[in-house]
Amino acid sequence: MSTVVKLPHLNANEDQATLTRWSVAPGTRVRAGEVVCVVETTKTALDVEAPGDGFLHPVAAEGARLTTGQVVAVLLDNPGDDPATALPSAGASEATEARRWTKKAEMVAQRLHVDLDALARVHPGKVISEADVVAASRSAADVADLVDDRYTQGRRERVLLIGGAGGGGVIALDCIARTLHQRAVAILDNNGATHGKRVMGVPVLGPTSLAEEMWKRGEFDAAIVIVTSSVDERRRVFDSLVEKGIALTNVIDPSVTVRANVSIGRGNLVMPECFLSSCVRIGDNNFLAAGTMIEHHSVIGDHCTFGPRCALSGAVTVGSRVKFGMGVLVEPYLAIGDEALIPSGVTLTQSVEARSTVKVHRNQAIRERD
Amino acid sequence: MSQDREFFRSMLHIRLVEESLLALFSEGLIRGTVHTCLGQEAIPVGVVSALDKARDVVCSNHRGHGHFLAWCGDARGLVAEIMGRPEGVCGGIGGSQHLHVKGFYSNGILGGMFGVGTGMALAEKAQGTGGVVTAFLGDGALAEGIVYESMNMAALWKLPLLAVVEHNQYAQSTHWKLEHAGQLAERPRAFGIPTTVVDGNDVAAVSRAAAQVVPAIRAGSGPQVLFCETYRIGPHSKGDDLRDPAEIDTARLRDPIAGVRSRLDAAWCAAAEREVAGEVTRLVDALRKVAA
Amino acid sequence: MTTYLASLQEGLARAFAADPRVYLLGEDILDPYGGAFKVSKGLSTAFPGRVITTPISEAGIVAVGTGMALRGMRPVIEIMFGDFLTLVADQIVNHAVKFRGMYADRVRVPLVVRTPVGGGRGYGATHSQSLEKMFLGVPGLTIVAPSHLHDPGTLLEHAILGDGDPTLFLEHKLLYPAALLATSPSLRISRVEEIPGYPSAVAENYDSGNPDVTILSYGGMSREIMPLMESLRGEEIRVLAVFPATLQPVPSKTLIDCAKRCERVLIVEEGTAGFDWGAELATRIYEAHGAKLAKPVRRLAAHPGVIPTATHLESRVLPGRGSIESALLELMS
Repeated sequence: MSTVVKLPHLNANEDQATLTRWSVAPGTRVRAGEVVCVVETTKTALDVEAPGDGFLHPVAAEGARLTTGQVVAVLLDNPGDDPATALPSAGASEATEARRWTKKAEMVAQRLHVDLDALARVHPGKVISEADVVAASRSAADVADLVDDRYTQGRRERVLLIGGAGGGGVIALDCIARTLHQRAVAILDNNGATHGKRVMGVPVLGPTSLAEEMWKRGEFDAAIVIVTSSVDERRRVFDSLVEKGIALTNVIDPSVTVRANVSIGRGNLVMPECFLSSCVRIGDNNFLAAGTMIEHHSVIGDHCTFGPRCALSGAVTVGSRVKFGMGVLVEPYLAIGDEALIPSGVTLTQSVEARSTVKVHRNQAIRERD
Repeated sequence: MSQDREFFRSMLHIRLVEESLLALFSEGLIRGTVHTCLGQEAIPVGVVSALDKARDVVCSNHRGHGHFLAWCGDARGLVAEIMGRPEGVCGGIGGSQHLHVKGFYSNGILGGMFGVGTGMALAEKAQGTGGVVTAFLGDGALAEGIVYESMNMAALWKLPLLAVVEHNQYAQSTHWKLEHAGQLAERPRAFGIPTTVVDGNDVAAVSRAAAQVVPAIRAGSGPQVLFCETYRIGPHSKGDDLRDPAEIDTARLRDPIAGVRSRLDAAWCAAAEREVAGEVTRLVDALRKVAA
Repeated sequence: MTTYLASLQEGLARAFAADPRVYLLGEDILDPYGGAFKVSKGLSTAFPGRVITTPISEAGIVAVGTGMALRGMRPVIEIMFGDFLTLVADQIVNHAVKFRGMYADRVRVPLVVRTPVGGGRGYGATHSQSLEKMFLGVPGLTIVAPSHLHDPGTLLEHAILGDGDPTLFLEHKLLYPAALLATSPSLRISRVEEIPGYPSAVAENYDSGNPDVTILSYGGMSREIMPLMESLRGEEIRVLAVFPATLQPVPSKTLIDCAKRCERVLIVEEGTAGFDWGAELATRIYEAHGAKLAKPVRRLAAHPGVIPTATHLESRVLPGRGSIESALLELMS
C-alpha cells in the first residue's frame, strides 16, 4: 500500500512554500523519517521527511510553488507500482452540472421578463450572456411595435376642451376617444357647478380663463372650442385662444367620410357620419353636427354651426358665423352670407344675404288625431 | 558670590512672574488655568546653570514656567503666550503647558515628555552633538508607567539624559505617601541609574550637584537623576488649595529666595528687587493694556 | 514576482541607504531573527547601529521615536502587532501629532509607526484585529494601509523620507507572502495619484464602459476581493474596486469619481462595523452622488465582537470572499 507525502503545516503565518530541491533521486528506497526534499518559506528552509517506507516517486517539480497539504510525492511499495492508484482521486466531479447562464444574464432576464430557461434550451452548450438576454427581449418588443403602429400612448395629441362640460363636450369626447391620434386631457368650463367633476372620465379643472396658464405650463398640445349654441360666443372664445397663442386642433370622428382634395382649417368639430365631398373647403372653428353632408366644391367660412342632417349641394358658399338648424337643405350654387340664421327644416332655393333670417311661411296646424 | 546674585535675580524673576500670572488670572485676563512653581524656583535655576544652552535640551511639564524662564528668560513671550496673545512664544496656541523655544519643549501629559526626552537623548547621542537632555518630573509623575519604560531604555542604552525630580510632596491635592509605595529615590537606582538627593530649596546645592553630574552624562556615562526635595507653596493650579495653611506657612520658612538673600548684601538685594519687579510690572502692565 | 514582504524589505533598505538619519526601533528586529514577520531581515546587518532592539515598551518606544523625530532624525518604530496600538495611543494622539500645531508650526515630527494588522490566521482576539478605526479622525496623522495592488515598499519609503508628518503604516499580515498584483489577464489595474506619493489602485474586471458595482476597500481585503472579481468576470458582473493607499488623508475626489461610475456602491473593511471608515465614505458619497444611487451604500465590516481562533468561527466574523460576494449580489438585485 503506497503512501503519499504531503507538504506539512509550515508556520502560523503561511500556507505556501517553494520546493527548493529533491534530496533523493526518484526510485530510491527511503525509510520513515528520511529527508526527501527541502522547501522554503519566507521565514526559513524546511526539511520534508518521508512519513513511511517506500520507493520515492516525486510528483512536484523543483521550483514549484506548493500549498499546505498538497501532495509532493508518492512512496510506492514496489518500484514498478502505478503511482496513480495512490493519488487521491482527482476531485470528485467538479462542482455540479455546468452552468447555463451567467449571473448577470439571470439578473437582466428577471428585469426584462425573459424566459431564461427557454432561451438556454434554444442554445444548448452555450453559456447565455447578458447580451443574449437583451437581444431576446428586444425582438419581443419589435413585434409589439408593429401592432402599436406609430401612435404610442405618449405621442397622442393632448386636447383641452373649452366649454365642454355639457352635452357638446360628451359628443366631442366620444369622437376623441375613437381617434388613434388624440386624447382628451381636461375640460375648462365657466359653469362653476361642473368644476372638480368628470365628464366621461375627463376632469373639469376650472373656468376657461385657466387655458393660458395651462398652455404656458405645457399641459396640453391644442384646444377645441365646444360651444355650439351661439356662433358669436364660439367666435369670441376661438379668437381669445388664438390671441394667446394657443394652438387649436380639429376633432373629426373616424366615421366621417372625407373625399379627395378636401381642406379644413383648425378648431373644427366634425361629428359622426358627416360627409365632406371632393374639393370642399372648410375654414376654422365650425361645428358640424352628426350627418352633415357638404357636397363637392362647397365652401364654408369660419365659426358656423350646423344642426344634425343638414345637406348642402354642390358649390354652395357659406360665409362666417352662419347658424343652421337641423335638416336644412341647400340647393347648388347658392350663397349664404355672414351671420345668416337658417331655421330647421328649411329648403333653400335662393341665396341668402348676410345677417338675414330665413322665415318659412307654412300652415301648420296641430289637432287631435282622428 | 556673583553666582548667588545671578541665582537671586533669576529666582526672583520667576517668583514675580508667577505671582503676576496669578493676579492676571484673578483679573480674568488668563483662560484655563496656570500651574505655578512658587517655592520651587531654586531647582530650575540651579540645574540650568550647569547646562550648555547652545546644544542641550530641556523637556518640561505642566508646571514649566520656572523651567522656561530659567532656560531663556523670555517673560514677555511667556506671559503673552499664557494670555493667548499672538506675540506669545507659540502664537497663543500652546498656552501655559505647551511651550517651545529653541532647545525647550513642554507638554501637559504627565510623564509623557520624559519618554519623548529619552528619544531626544538617543537622537543627540546618535548624531554625536554632545548634547544633554534634561527632563523635569514631579513626584506625581513617578506613578506613570512611561517613566519606568523610559528609565529602563535610557539606562540600557546609556543615553545622555538628566532626570530632575521635583519632589514637592504633593500631586495635585494628594500627599505623595498616599500615591507611592517604597522610597522614591530608590526607583531609578533599581535601573542602575545614579541618583543624587539634594535640598531643592538650596539653589547653590542644586547647582553644585548639577555641575557634578552633567559633565559625566555628557561624557557618555549614561543617565542620572537629581532628586530635589522641595515644597509647593502655591496651589496645584489656580484656586484649588485645600492644604493646612499652617503646613504651608512652615514651608515658607525654607523659602529658597530667602535662603539666597541671606547670603547677599541687603542693599544690593533691595535694588535688584526693585529692578526686577519694575521690569516685570512694566511688561505685565503693557500686556494688560493691549489685552483690554 | 515580488511579494508584499520583499517589497517592504527593499523599501526599508532604500530608505536606510538614502538618509543616515533613518533608524528602526522595535522588538526582536535584529538579525538573524529579523522581526516577527521578517520585515527587518538583513537590515541590522546592512546598517549596523541603526537598527535598535528595544524592551517590550510600546508606549516608551513610540515616545522615543517622537523625541528622535523632534531632534531631526527619521525614526521608524515597529509595533509587533497592530493590536498593541492601544498602548501607544497617548504618545501618538497627545504628543506626536500635536507638537507641530501647539508649537505654532515651528517643529516637525517625521515619525513612522509601522505594524502588522488583520486576522485570518487563527491568532485569536488580541492578535488579529484591525484597530485603525481608533485613529481615524485624529488630526495631523497620516494613515497608510497598502493592499497587494500597491507597492508597499515604495509607500513605506515615501512615508519615511517624505514631507515629515507622523504616519501610521499598516501592513496586513496575510499579505506578506502574497505576490504583488501589478497585472492580471482578467483585470485592468491602474493608479490614480491624488495625494502625492500615495496613489490609489483601481482594478476593473471588464474591458470598457462602466461597472455595475463599485467597491471601496483598503489593505488586506484586496486578497479576498481580487479573486472574487476574477470569477465574477465570467458571470458578466462588472466590478470596479478602488483601494486608496491612505485612510487619511482621504483621496475624496478619486473615491467619489469611482463611486459615480455607477449607481451601486459597496464598502468593505476588516475593522468592526459601526462608526467605521465606511460610514465616513458613505456620507461623502451621499453628499456627492446620493440622488443617483439605485440603492443605499452597502457597508461590510467585521462583526462587532471578539475574533474567534477557530477557523470556521473566524470566517463568520471577518468579511471574506463569500460574504463580499453575497453583499455585492444583494446590491445588484
